[in-house]
Amino acid sequence: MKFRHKYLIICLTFWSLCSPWQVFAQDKFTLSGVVTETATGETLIGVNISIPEINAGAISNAYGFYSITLPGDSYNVVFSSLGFITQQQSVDLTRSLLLNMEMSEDAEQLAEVVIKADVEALDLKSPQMSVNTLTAQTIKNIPVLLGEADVVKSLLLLPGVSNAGEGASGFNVRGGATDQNLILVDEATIFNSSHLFGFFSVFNPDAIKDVKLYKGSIPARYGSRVSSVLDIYQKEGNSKDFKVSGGIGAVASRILAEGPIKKDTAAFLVGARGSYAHLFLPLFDIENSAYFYDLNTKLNYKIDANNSLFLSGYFGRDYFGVNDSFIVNYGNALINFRWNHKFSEKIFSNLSLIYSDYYYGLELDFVGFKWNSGIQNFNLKYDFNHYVTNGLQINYGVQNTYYTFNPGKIIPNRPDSGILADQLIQKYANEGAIYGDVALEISDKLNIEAGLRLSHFVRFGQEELQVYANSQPVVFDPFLLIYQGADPTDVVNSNRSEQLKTFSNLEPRLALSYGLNDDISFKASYTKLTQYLHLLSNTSSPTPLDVWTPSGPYVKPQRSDQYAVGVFSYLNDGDYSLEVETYYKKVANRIDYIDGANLVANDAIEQVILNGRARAYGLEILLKKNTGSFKGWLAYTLSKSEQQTPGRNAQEIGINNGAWYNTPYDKPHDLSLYLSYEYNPRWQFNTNFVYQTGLPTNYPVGQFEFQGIVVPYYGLRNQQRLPDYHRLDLSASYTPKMKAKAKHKSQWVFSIYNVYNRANAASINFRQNQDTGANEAVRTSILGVVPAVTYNFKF
Amino acid sequence: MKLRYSLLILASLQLFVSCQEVITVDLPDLTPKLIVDALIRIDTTQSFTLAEIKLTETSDFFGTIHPVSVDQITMSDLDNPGNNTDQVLDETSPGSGIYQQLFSTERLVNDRWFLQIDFRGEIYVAEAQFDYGVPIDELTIGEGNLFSEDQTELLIRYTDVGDREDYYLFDFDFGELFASEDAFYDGQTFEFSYFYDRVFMPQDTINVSLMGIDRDLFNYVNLLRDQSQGGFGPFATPAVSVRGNLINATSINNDDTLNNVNDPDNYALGYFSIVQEFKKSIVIE
Repeated sequence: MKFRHKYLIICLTFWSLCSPWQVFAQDKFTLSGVVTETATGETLIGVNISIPEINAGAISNAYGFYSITLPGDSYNVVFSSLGFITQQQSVDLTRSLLLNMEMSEDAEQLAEVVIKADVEALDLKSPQMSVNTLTAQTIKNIPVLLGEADVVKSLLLLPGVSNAGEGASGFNVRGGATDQNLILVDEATIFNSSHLFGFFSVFNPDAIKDVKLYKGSIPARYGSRVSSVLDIYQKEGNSKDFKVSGGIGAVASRILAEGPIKKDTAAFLVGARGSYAHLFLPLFDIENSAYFYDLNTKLNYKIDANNSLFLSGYFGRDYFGVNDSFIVNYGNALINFRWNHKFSEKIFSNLSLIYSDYYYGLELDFVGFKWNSGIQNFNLKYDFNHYVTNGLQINYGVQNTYYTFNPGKIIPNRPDSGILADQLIQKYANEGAIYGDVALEISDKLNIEAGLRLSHFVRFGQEELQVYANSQPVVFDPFLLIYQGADPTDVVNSNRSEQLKTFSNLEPRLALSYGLNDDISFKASYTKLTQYLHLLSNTSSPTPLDVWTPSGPYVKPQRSDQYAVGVFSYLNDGDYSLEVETYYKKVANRIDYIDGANLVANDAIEQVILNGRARAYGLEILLKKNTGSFKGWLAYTLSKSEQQTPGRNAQEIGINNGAWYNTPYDKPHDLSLYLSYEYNPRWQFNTNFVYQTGLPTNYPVGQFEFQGIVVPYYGLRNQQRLPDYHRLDLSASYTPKMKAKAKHKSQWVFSIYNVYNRANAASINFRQNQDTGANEAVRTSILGVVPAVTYNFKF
Repeated sequence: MKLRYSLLILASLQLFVSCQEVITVDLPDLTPKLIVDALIRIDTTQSFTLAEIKLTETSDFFGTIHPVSVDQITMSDLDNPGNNTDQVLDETSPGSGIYQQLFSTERLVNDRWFLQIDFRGEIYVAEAQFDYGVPIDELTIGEGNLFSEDQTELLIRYTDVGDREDYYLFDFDFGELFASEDAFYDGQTFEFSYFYDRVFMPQDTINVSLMGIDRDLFNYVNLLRDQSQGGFGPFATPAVSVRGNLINATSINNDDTLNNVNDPDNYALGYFSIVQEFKKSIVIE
């Protein structure tokens, strides 16, 4: 209660600062506009608009819009962004002015990058920390598996980001689980970020405009997940010229067509990607297939200077077939409508209406059934950026999502199958939030961003809800010392409009930056987050069979608190930047599973889960070289990630005897090096090197035999480690010289993944050799050296 | 449950692009534990059943499992106490670890039974009650395979009894166990395929048993299978110590105060269960 009052006071103080009777003697006017790219008309995100002589500035928002309110005077306004030629414009601000700006890509890599100090000064001033931005160009340059540029693989090279090995889908941020990352594509939530077990991501790199990963210090406009936010904006479509680009690779190909429907006013973008390696398998007598495809479509229409409409769709599927007896089919689909509206030159708003569907289907012919499960949601978001005056910006908005969860439906797939059709109980929930945050410049050196988010979750009624004695779906047997599901005492039917359980949570966010001098600033942040949806998975990394489950009478929302401090600086006049951050994160209500929990097709998952907690802490160092023909970064993370599920009372032993144990993705040391060398305009060389501590694993302390099965027997969880993981990748890209008038460009990319063919252990299994009958430890490694060639084209 | 099987298949998909190599590892030390293999299979057409319990001790993973002799092992009929039914099981030969005794089939089927083992100063106990099974309707060798040519498909058909929760344990010979529940085929005749990772020669015989079990043993067998095969790579299921239904009752004063929470690692492995068994064999052509 006391905490709430403090926040009320802070908010009131800020509001009084911007109330009308505080206006200075001099009149103020607003300079605003939209920043776009010259060649395509695409809006540009994160462009720095600065007025160096008075140390003022702003950053273009997700739709390229900026607004600065200043005293009436003459100014020199500088527009700068990494990779673009800096623009300057003199402005006589005697009344509110609309200043749109077009910026061109800095393809020539001009040696003198103008006024770098001002570019970086804004980054240092902003209290935002724990965020990494990746440009589309960087993502395309990073050498990855099979030459396919990949957003998620690029993220893994950043400090604080890792994954559970090759073949693992998803990623882990600051020791958090894969379901704790909010993945947004053009404001829409995506539930599964990988194709083909993590070998490819669901994002078409040609369609990407901007990628930001918030590892901490998450602004109030984001919520719903407790570890990170991956915010991706895609291109809207070239509104000036019709362009086609694409690439042909060893395993997959892609094509993207974009162009104006009405020049400078309306444009479209259509992108498709698919893999075809499975077509070659019959040549090797293999009756299996595995492929993926996805389709991106976008339409945008600029009604007038104050209104723009966007309509986009995404459809992606993964398919695995083993011999026609086992078929798996899953993916995301979404449709998204957005309306940008400027209420005035100071108030920008975006309304989004989104429908998304995640589907998973399985057919097992040798048992005789088809299975499907999924999650659908309708999402509404209304976000406002209010640029009150220079040095004060307020963001606020509302969001609401209605979810339908289908945990599974099973039907016989042929007339002679003995399977009975069954539908696991569908679940319904609604998540809403209202937020506000204030970015305020307190002094020349001190900037603060303070926000508050109020989230509210309702779990609606469902056809059947099992009820247990003492509301305890899991009981502990004090004799056998095991947890077991309790038998329900009753089954309750409830209406879909009834509210089984509601949760309300306040999520304060606070960030500050203090400029020690022009080149160095110190930042600190505190973030509180709540997560109402959980991915139930007790394997090291999620499988496509895992289902998302909403909080409710038996499942509590996860809540996290993250504290972070760091030092940020630009060295050598902006050529290098260095970020050092340390964080501590604790998560309450992390789900853990009783031994032997079967999560697949389980209608009563409350009988196999237990409530635990998690914590993670670490140090991240990122050294970047931003300019010159050698560019890249070195990232090092020292961290710990662990979880604990103690017994619920003194009579229970908990999981792992109630002791803290390493999470399956804990990696104490994680080093990544990415270097890019531009030898000449035709040749560019890129390399990655990663070195990580091996993931936790379990070695048996003994073995026993029961009815002929030999079973390894274990002690405490996750105490041993796999061998260290390290790998070197190389790639070279060759851009042939084209005639000056030639409209098409091409590029050849030669890449080698895992150059020295290290057999990195994905797991070590202990089992009985089928032929000799002796026990052995078997190391499974997934990817050896993989060379590839990709041909990219643009016209 | 069949869907658990699919998890194993998913894990096996990784094998497409993976390579496996046997390596040497240093394993942590262990404190040996008693293993009680007490799955009493009953053919209800016989009036007497020879109950056989194998007792062994855990060993280092790369070592050999040895039989152990215990001080005493008895099975008591809880529903007929004191009627000279506290029967001691006798070791077939000294050091064999195999303990046997003849019991009345009718008593095994109708009553609750209590197992007690005295071993190295500890007392381990377990309780079991008979579970009904169903006969195997048909066994056929199939043409299909799942991943490789070196597999053999066996189709098994049986008919579930409707309106009750049934769990089945299949012994597919050669140490291959599989467990299933009737949730999705209650009361139906059901057929599924089991794949052996081997090819059989003509005239080879496969002896298959179908046993009726309860939910706890169903969970136990699935856990055993998970731990012995696991998943590979990112689909690895968490390593757990598979606790059976044997309780360490050494510090017992009376039934109410037994509490092993302070010494959770002192227990015996294995399972005690009394099940109905139906057998069928098939000869490869």
